[in-house]
Order: sequence, then C-alpha cells, then structure tokens
Amino acid sequence: MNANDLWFTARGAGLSALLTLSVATACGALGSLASSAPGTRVVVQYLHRTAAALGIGLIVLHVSTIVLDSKSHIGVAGALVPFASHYRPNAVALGSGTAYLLLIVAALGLARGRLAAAPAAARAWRAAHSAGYLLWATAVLHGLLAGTDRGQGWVVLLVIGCILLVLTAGLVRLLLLADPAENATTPAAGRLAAGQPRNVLR
Amino acid sequence: MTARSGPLGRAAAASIALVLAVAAATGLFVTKIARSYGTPTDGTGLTDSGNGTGFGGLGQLSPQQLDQPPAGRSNGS
Repeated sequence: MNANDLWFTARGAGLSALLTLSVATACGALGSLASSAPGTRVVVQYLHRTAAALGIGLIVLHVSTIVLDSKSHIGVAGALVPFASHYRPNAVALGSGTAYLLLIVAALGLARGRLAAAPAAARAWRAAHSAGYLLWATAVLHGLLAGTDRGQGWVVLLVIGCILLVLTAGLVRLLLLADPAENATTPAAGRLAAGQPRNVLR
Repeated sequence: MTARSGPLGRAAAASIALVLAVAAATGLFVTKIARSYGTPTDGTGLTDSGNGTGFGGLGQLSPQQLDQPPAGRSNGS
C-alpha cells in the first residue's frame, strides 16, 4: 500500500460524497412530484434513499481515512470537533458540522413514518427534512474552501455538474409546485384534506 | 416475479446500478488524484513532474503541509 493511498482515498471519497449527495438531493426534489407516474416516484424515492445512504457512507470513509492518514495531521479531534482542526479550521468545521446535521436529517428521513403521522407533524417533518438542501450547499462550500483538488479542471467540472444537477431539480420542483394543477392532484394534499393520519407524506 | 417486473423491481435495479456507478466513480476519482500527483521522489512530498495544475506538485502535499512553510524556513523568510 502506497504511503499516500489513505490521503488519495480521503480526497476521492470526499468528491464522490459530493456527487452522491447531489444525486440524493436532486432525487429528493423530484421524488414527490405528483405529475410523475407512481412507478416513477417509487424508483426516484428509492434512488433518493440509496444515494443518501451511500453519501453518508462515503462521508464516513472520507473522515476516517483523513483521521487515519498520519500525513494529514488533522487527527480525530480536528476531524470530529468543529474548529479544532489546525488546517483551515472554519472550512473543516463547515464540513464536520454539515456531516452531523446530515446524520440528523437522515435519521429524520428514516423515522418519517412515525414522525409524520399527523398533518401538522408532516409539515414540521418536511421543513426539517428540507434542511438537506442547505446542507448540500454547505457541503459544496466545504469542498471549495477545504478541498485540495479544487484547482483541477475535472474537479471544477464535477462541482459545476453537481450544482447544475441540484439547481435544475430544484427549479423543476418549484415550477411544478407553483402549478395549481400539480397541487390539486397531489395525493398527499388529498390525504391531508381527508384527514387521513398515516403516510401523509409522499 | 411481480416485484421484479414492477416499480419495486425497477427501483431495486436502479439502486443497484447507482451503487455500482458510485463505486466506479469513487475508484476513478482516487485513481485520477493519485495519477495526477505521481509519486514523491525525494521525500519532500513534491513530485518531479508536477501535478498539471501549474503549482509544480503542490497538490502532492497534505493540507497541513500546504499551510506550513518548507522545512528549515520560517513564515517570514
């Protein structure tokens, strides 16, 4: 094993985590649109969950390899405790803080069935889960501020592609949700109106 | 059979494809990073060929090294 393999893996995993979390965010934005076919919604929702799980796994790989890499000199405290890193403390804290909050958002996602059993709870759950958009943005910012590969052309293209993917999905969602016909045919809205307590979120 | 051909089957197939794609992408990224920086030749962490970014191999350095002055020099030198 090359002495730099851990360091290369840490950086590759960080970039891959950004890509995967971008896919998860885009699928999350598109997965609940009523205008798409039910079968398509199921596929997109599964992709959203799979990508989110993969993204968190890659974050774990990113952090653990940085901690294990003796050359990075970041260490356990630097990686896990915000602002404890000697290397770009603000940028690294942005990453560690984002990772912690992502874990909370993911846990909320797993507990959706229980937490969103009532219409009011569903609205609160949706607002909390929507923090994922903000966390995706802070993950991009972390990569731009702390990443040592940000000067490479293919990395720049990757980051631009991720940003375009999420912005496009978000724009499609906003445009379709602004359409009265879309809202009128939203199954969740119908269930909310009917007062059905279970699975009020699509 | 129903699940295999229905939405759940397609969702499972798409999820497996995503896992494989992410694994391939991660391997590609790591390989590209490793190849672009080459192998240190003299113990300084610098490569003899640079990294193609115009910084003469600075990419080979760890974050800590990037923010530190070279050995034997102070920040003010």
